[in-house]
Amino acid sequence: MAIIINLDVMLAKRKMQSKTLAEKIGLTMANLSILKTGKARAIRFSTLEAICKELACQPGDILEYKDE
Amino acid sequence: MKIFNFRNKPVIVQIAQIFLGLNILSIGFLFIAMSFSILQNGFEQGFQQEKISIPVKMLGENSHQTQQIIEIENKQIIVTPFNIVETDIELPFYFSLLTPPSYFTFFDLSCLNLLFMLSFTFTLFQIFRSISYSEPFAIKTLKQINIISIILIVWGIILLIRNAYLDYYLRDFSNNTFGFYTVFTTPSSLIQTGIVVFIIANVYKRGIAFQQDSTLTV
Repeated sequence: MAIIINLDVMLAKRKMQSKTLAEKIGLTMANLSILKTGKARAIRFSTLEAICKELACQPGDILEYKDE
Repeated sequence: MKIFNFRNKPVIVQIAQIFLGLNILSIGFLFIAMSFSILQNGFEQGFQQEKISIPVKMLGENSHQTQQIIEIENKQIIVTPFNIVETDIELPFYFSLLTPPSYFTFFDLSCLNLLFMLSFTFTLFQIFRSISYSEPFAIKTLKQINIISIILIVWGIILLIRNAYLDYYLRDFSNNTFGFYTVFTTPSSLIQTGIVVFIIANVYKRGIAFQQDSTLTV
């Protein structure tokens, strides 16, 4: 897909584990894994908002568009 | 209880499953018993022509009479009060597989019809067995619904052809005195139901796509 999820990069920058983030935003590890591996078909605004709030970043820091 | 797979299912579905299971057993028993007796008879007589009692409907002026003796080709044919032909004219062997037994015409209990009834009920049972209430839209269930629609349409078409053929044969044979008679068999409604089930299967297909979208939305 042309949309790339840079969640791993942001987590590394903030030195936070996936499990911690999942617990804080109320997401299951399975769903977070779907998001990280790029299998997700859609992302809710509420999820995006929670991630941005926890990692103190902008949606653009997590999502990136690359022309295939 | 593994056969029924009752886990997490409402009581009404469990009852339906038990009912379908009993239905399969009874239809299966009838099918095996009838085909066995017909084939045994066929082996004994070398699959030659044989005398068969056939349910018929009287045509034209004779239709108001309940019992009569008709003569065709110097042979006597007795039509009983229950619209059954008892004849000494021999018919091809395959007629016994196609025609319902003349002593019980309310349901079409011919071997051909019983075979379709059995496959339909078995597929319906499989659907009830495999359906999951936590994840209702599954590809396996979609395949089974498609099979049901195919069975219904093929069943209807085959019965339509059989009824037309037997009616033509009997009218031709009796010089338009009587025709083939079934009460319960309505091939056109089977085809219509098959088409409706096919449409439902297509809607179900969209349901599967929606469910996948929903699962992959985080």
